[in-house]
Amino acid sequence: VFKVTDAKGDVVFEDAVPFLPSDGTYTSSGVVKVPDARPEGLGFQGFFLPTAITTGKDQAPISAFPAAANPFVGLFVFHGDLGLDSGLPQSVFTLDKAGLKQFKHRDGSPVRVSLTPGQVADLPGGGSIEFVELRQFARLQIGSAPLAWLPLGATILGVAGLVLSLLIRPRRTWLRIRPGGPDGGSRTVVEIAALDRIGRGGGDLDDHVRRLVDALEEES
Amino acid sequence: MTTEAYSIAANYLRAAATGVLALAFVAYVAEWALARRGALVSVGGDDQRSAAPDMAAGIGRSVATLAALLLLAGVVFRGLAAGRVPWANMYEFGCAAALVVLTGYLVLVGRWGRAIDWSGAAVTGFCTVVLGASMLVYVPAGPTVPALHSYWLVIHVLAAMIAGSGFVMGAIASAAYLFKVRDENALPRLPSAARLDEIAFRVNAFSFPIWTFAALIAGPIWAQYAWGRYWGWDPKEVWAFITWVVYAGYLHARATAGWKGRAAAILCLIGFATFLFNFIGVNLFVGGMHSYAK
Repeated sequence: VFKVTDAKGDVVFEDAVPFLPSDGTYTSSGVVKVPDARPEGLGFQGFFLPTAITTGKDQAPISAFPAAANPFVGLFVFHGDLGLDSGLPQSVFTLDKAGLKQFKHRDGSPVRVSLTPGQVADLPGGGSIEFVELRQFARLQIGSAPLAWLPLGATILGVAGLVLSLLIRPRRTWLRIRPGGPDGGSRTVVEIAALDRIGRGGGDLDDHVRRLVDALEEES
Repeated sequence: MTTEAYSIAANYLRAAATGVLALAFVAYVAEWALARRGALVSVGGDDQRSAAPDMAAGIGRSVATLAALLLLAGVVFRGLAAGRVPWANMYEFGCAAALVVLTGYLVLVGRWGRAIDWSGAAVTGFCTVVLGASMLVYVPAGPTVPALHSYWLVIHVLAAMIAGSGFVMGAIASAAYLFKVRDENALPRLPSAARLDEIAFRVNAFSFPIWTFAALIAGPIWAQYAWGRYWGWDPKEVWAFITWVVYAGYLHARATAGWKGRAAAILCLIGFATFLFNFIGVNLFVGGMHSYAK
């Protein structure tokens, strides 16, 4: 909530202004438009830091934490025509600077007003701006994903299958059965062969074939 | 001890670990260099293999163990200083991940011996670089933003770190494989190309399900209740998925005729590159909801 007084001493603005957060520590930016100030309209553009810390001398302060532990507002001050009477719709978060001039110090650097809650700063063209209080606003996002369990379940099944496929070593076993022995008699010849798909000389391949041969010999 | 003292101790321990690890790297490089000379000598008819490379490797291993212990103490102190698990920003992730890589290497050396010992120079070199580079994104120990206040921070990030460590080992083995497959006689300390291929496959096959869990199960579950959606095409999510796809391709390529061997090893390196980019590039240059670099 800001309170702006113009050069004649009239309170020309007293309202809450939303500053949009732009990062994880809620460094926020916004503008205050005061078209009713006299002799000229006033515009403020700046940033809001919920927890301002300075990282060193001559460094711009940054926000260290999203909660309002050390709220701080820095504003650049403009004067002139805010363009609100042109009839064109305007964003409430940006200033139309076409008809505005920025207040500057004598050395050409822009005037910046720094405020913490309760502080008042005098404006270069007369008048003052007060950071009356900090009001928090919440952005709510409502979502519903009724089928979220489906991808979850499918992914878990997929991983389970993946782990199994990586752990189990595939093995192929062939049996070739054909009539006729080497002497052309009426015997049936059975050939057995096996192959590990992931071959690392596992060692039990021979056992596997041996067992099959033994089983067959017992049958006959 | 006060929080401040823990924080200072953590910084000193991390710095000490970096220095000690650099020494281990030197010892491992000496191992390779000595082995190279030994190979030249043995060509000259002298069949006695020098014990010097093994000694250098032993020194490297001992020094690397010391570095791992220092780093472990540093990471624990960092956690005590911050009052939470010490992997909530890029700096801490770099230190903790280097510790996991180093520990994984030392454990594997204990289990597999020579089969993994050879990678010492690459592992210690990589971890030294990670530890040194993490200083570039140093932030003082402190609380995290509220979005990270969840036990999923432990599960999701730890799983990602473990999977990433496996990817590091896999990439080292695949790179070594590419050298070996060109010339079996190069770098005598390395195992045969077939063995390297096998090692790369085993660590990647271990890491891939964990990566799947970290990026595609634990992450979305956390996102579902922290951000209200389980998949939001955040840059980090997309790159994690790209990494996943490339490694899935690698696992398939290894079992596919025409793709096994060199092509699969190159895929493994591409996968690792996407993983690294996700850590470095997305953190520093892309932004998004996973930007906890600072």
